[in-house]
Amino acid sequence: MNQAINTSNMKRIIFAIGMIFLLGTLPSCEKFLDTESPDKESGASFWQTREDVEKFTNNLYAEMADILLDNSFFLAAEFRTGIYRETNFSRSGFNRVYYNYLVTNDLKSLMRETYWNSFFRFNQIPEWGAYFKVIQSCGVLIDAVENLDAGILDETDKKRYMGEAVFVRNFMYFIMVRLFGDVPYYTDPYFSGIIGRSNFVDVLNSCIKEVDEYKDYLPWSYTDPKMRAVRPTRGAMYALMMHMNMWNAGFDDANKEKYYQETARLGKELRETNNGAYRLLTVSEFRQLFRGGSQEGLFEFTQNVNYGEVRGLGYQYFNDNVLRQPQYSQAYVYWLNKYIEKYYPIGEVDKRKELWFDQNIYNENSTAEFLKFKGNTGSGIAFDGNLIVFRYADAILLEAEANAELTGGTGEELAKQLLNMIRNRAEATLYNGLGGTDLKDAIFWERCKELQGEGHAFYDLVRTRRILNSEYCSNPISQSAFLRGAWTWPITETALVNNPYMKLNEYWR
Amino acid sequence: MFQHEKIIWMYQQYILSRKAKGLWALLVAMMIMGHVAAQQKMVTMKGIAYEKSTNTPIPGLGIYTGKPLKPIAATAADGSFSITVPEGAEVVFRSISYAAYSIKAKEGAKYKIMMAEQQSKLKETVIIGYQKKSREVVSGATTLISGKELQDVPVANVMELMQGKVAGLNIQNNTGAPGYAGTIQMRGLNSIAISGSGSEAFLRPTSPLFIIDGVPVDPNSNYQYGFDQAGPGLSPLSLIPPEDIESIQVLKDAQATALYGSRGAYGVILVTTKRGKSKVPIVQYTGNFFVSIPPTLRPVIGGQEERRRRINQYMEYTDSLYKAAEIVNETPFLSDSLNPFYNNSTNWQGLFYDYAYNQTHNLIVSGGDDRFNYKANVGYYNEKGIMKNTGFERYALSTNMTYRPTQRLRVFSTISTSLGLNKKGSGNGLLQTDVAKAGAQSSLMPAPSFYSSSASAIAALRTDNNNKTANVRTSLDVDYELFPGLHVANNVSFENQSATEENFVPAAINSNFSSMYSFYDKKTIFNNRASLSYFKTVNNVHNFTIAVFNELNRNTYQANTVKLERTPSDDFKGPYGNDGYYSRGGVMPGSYDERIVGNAATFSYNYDQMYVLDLSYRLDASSTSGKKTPYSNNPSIGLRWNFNRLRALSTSTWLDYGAIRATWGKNVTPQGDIFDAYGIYTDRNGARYNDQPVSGIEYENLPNNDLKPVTNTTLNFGFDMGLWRSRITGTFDFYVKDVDNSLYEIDLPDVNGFNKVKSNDLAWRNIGFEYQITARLLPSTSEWNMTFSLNGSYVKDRITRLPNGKREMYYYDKSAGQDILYRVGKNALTNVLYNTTGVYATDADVPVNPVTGKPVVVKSVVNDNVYYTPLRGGDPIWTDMNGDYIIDEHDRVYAGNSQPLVNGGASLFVQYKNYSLNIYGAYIAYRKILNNAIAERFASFSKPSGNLAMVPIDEYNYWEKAGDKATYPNPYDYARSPYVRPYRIDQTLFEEDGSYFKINQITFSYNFDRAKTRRYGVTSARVYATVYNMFMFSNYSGPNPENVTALGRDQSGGYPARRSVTVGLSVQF
Repeated sequence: MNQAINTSNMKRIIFAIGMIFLLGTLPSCEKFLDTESPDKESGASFWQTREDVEKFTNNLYAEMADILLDNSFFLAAEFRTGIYRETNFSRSGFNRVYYNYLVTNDLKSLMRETYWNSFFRFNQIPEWGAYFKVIQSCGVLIDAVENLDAGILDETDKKRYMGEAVFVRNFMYFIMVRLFGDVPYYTDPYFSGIIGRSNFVDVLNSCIKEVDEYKDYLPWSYTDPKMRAVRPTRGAMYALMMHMNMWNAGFDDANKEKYYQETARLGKELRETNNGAYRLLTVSEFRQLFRGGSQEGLFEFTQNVNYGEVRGLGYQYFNDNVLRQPQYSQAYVYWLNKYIEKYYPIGEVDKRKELWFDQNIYNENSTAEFLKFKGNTGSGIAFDGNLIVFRYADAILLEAEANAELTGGTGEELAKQLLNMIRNRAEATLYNGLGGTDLKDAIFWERCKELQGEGHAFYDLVRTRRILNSEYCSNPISQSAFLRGAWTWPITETALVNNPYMKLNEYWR
Repeated sequence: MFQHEKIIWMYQQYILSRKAKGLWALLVAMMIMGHVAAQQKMVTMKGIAYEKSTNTPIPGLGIYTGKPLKPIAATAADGSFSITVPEGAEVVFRSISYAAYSIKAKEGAKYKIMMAEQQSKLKETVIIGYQKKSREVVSGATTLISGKELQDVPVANVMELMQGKVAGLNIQNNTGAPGYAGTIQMRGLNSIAISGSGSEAFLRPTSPLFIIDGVPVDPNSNYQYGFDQAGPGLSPLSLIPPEDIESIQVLKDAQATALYGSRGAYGVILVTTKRGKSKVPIVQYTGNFFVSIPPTLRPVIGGQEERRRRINQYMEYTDSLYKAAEIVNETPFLSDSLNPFYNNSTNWQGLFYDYAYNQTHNLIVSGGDDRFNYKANVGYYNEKGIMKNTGFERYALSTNMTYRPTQRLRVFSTISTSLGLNKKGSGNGLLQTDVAKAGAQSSLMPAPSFYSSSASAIAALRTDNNNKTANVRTSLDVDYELFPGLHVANNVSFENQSATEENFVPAAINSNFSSMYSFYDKKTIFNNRASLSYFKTVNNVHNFTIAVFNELNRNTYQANTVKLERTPSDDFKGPYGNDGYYSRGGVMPGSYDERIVGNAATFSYNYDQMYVLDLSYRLDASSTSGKKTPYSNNPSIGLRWNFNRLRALSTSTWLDYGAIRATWGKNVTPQGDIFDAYGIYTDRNGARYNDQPVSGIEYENLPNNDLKPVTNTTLNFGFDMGLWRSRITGTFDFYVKDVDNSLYEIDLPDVNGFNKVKSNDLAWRNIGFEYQITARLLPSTSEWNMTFSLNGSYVKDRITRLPNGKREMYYYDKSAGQDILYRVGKNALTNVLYNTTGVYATDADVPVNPVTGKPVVVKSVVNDNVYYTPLRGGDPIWTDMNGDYIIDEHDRVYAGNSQPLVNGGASLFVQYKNYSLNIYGAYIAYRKILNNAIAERFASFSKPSGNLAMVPIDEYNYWEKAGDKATYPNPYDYARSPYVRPYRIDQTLFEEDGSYFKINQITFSYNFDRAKTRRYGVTSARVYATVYNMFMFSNYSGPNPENVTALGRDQSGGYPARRSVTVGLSVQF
């Protein structure tokens, strides 16, 4: 009797343990909590495959291209140097006032302009919210990739995507520092704090530090030719760091020696360790160079008529402005002799002069055209070619500049060599002049020449303070105006909304 | 049976241990006693058991005898019983709802057992954390309402009748739309998130969670559309027939609701439907006929008088008479009085509002005993709205069944289906703007016809709107006792609700194009709870209960709409031939698929039912929580001391019971959706880059990684007392409730990339006091029975934290200017208004700016131009807070609080023999209402040529001529009106006291004598008459201080509350 009860007790205990076990296993179904919305995709269901990561990353470039190619960032960087003027033909027929506003640094009027801004959208440059959208996306990408299963993405790919996100984020900061000076800086993913602007030298120092940390996450080059230069490589990271160092060198006087040394070191590393990934193309390959995706490209925005990918008017460097429409007698702009003669001193040989200009190069307000990007004119106005942001030649010239600036001219010999690499490639007269200011000026003019139309000109003027000197630009900014931020762009008023810590650029208020 | 088994088991245990000789002796003694009893003379007792208050027979009442008490029988369907027991034995009649009644067994006359309803609250059985408990050992705050209290008034939504019955539960029946729900708030504010503007500013509803027979039902649906509800919009509570409700239990504090974990933060309301409990089947029929009565319509000036006044206004307030004449001549409906089109005196309101005659029928069949019982309820409810073209019909069929083959296994299942049909007219249910617009038209306009000038009038009357909501709810509850005291149970439930709306607008009222709209939604709730519980008593005084359970919950919802514009004709309603360019359709926003996993453990201990300790813990994971915060904890602790069990008090005659309770606990409710936590990803409309697809995150809402559920932490102190055999009972609760992590959408600066983020940083504290007192005014020996009860609640809220550490924040009302202030340390919702202190009697009274020598100016923006208009006599005196002689937005003050501080109710029940009278009312006090309706009424004078109705304002003290000391500014100065805006709604002039006392219900009923009805086979019959919502006492100048939004705004477009008169009959076979 007693025994029987004990047996049945045992059975019940086993049953109970079974039930408890069942209870215990129910909550472990983590999967139960993974839900999908019936009508939209949420972040909980998005990060599941390699394709998701790739599409999200690709979108970063798409969004940057949407911003910078739409708001004529590159165009503005050229016209603000002041060496271009509206042709008589254009003034009488079209009155493209934006040249004059940019030349005279009258950005307030430029912002108020409505007609031409509907094409060129210079008035969207101050809308910095767009840049921060990309920055947030980069944070999201890093955060998501870090937590992905190894089964979805292996360690190399994880690093590459994170490296790309770091590049894009810091590139955006660099662009913003060039445009606005001080900017709010954050790297946290899903950042929701309310912050004001940070000193831009500090911002760039933080950026340099981060890029340096992540630079090895990217390969020197890609096997897929479609990705070459379009997706950042380790070379792009180097170029970005060199640019940021050189920018800080111009503004952080106390530490400028350090920045020059850094730039020189980075340039050297870039040249010597890239395993043949990059080279300077030859003169005969120029067309390929500006078509994009060449071995000289470090970072580019892709555009392709065949893909149906063309963006606003700002996309096309300044082809629209500097090339003559077949039915018109002149292009819309010409350039001042005073400066073009400094680029290309009369009598000096330079293939670039021959290839990029017609015979009217020194003939102001004539039918002259700037042909550098002509090879990329697609059908109609569509520009069919990549928009080059950083390239090998650009980095070499930065290295040259940094070496020339080093105290006591310790790097002058190397600087001359580097400068002559570029001249050599252009089949131009080599530089064998003095060191010091002469060399520095030669490198400056070489950058102007080599990178004309590529969106560096104004920023080179600013960071070297040559913007204060009428030798280098037609409408120099006064020292006091410069200190008050005349070199910046205005920031949109909407930046003040919901942000008590925000201050705008006083110069433009 | 069970007792017997236990004894044998004990016996064996003790034999085995050979230790408890004493107990063996006891057992033997007990057996001998039983033997002795068996030898006594047996008598047969016959009689009928009645419920004392209603004088109706009670079926299924348990009859017990012996020591310990053992059930021997139950009363039959007609309340009769016949038992054979030893003479002189004590026979006890008892059940959960009645005070036990005992009698010595004696042969003889027929007994009439009058069962008094359970007055001692202590003996009530309540459900806490899925467990039935005697109230004596409950530490949390809870109130039990019997289903009987919710009868006699036919209403669609039973919560209407709960108003004023539970202290701390603030129910405002603020819409009269049939089938819709008012607002329900448990213990003060649970959300302060607002959307919309002006009268349509919408406070996010936070109705408690409803558990209907163990199945969770969340009535907070569709709120994402604010007042613009999509679809039929019926409240799920409207689909339950009130006749089927056995009881409603309200769990208030966090200890009571802790085990409902992830959804209990707004309180929990348990609805139990009726069960079968009589061996002989009972058929009960209840039928009501009722008349819905519209509110008193406001008087309107009509016909010639209206025209005269309008013309007069032009003559007086236009600069020159010639100009005035010109305006009048240019306005045909004023000048062309001979034209029959303009020569009318139409009573617009009368067209839309009317009496409605309705009926309801309900039939319950139930029967069975402890081993097997069943119930089936069939109900029909029909309520035509007091507004034309609106109404609600409900067909409900529900059954439940308990099957208990052995004492060990219990299976309970329910199936409940209901179908709700409603018509919303041309409005969206809650709002009837067409009616409001049309009803406010000039009487000079012709009554609606096909060619009439008022499209909205015809829209309201001719729109063809049909809605259907179908609901099926099933549940299965299995409980198996493994060992004595150890239960394994599983409860699974599933609910499916689908709703459709069909709306057709004929061409004539829609710019000559007919249009149709159809809506479909589907909502499912799946819930499974598996539990293990163990109960053990040690040494007769230490009682332990331990339980663990796991709960899975899944809710899904999706709504789709199709809007076909320009369908071929009124007779051919598509789907072909519509204009695709204008037509729209697709999935509505707000679809979700939410999952919750909860694990809980609970431990209860009491020492001889004197000292009680409750501990519980629940861990929840929700699919909507942020990535970094997937889990939420819900701990709780409760203590109770029944001091009446103290030796010193146990013999007292005055103290029936007394207890002190203290609880602390935490509750969460998920908020936001998966997108708030994880963001929305899109493929950027198929855009490509580098010839490859892209996809990215939407920059509208920043995903909140730390998204947490809203957390309520409540500290509750309670005191229960019953005096003089429960002649007076009282329950008092004091609580501090902290609401943390409440969701609030904040706009981000542009540098954050995203436009908005749902922040968790909003927190506030509700401090409140509640009391509930019941007094039986006459001794139980009296022929009269009179019970009076009163309850009330005081609750004050105070903001403790705002997003980003802000000290204050506004909810900007962009169009109406009725901003709301949130400030740390202040009540949560404060109106920000211009302070109106009166009306300037004369021009000279207007203060003069000493610098400019000009009178105070008021700033106004008309068509984006800013004007500064000097004030004059007849204009309102707005306080110039900053003393700059300019009245502008900087001069607004923090005015009143739109949330009531005090609310409650009172009831009186009187019975004499077969007659009874039941009166109950509800009140609210210390609440501010913004009377936007009256502002609109005055403002209608600002445009005499517009065709808004002229409402007589003679009853108001307004400024007419220089020197008048008036309350309201001059309404006639139409020329300056757009600049001065004297009747702007964002001023304290229209902020009024919203306190009221309302008599909800007066019911008079009569019970037929059983003797008279018996020959018809009727065991009981009852007739009654009820007036509902008939009387309201208030200082409020508008029509109804209850019929305002949750933010206290009186909206002219709302659906007015109805009054009703009912005649009903309840018969039991």
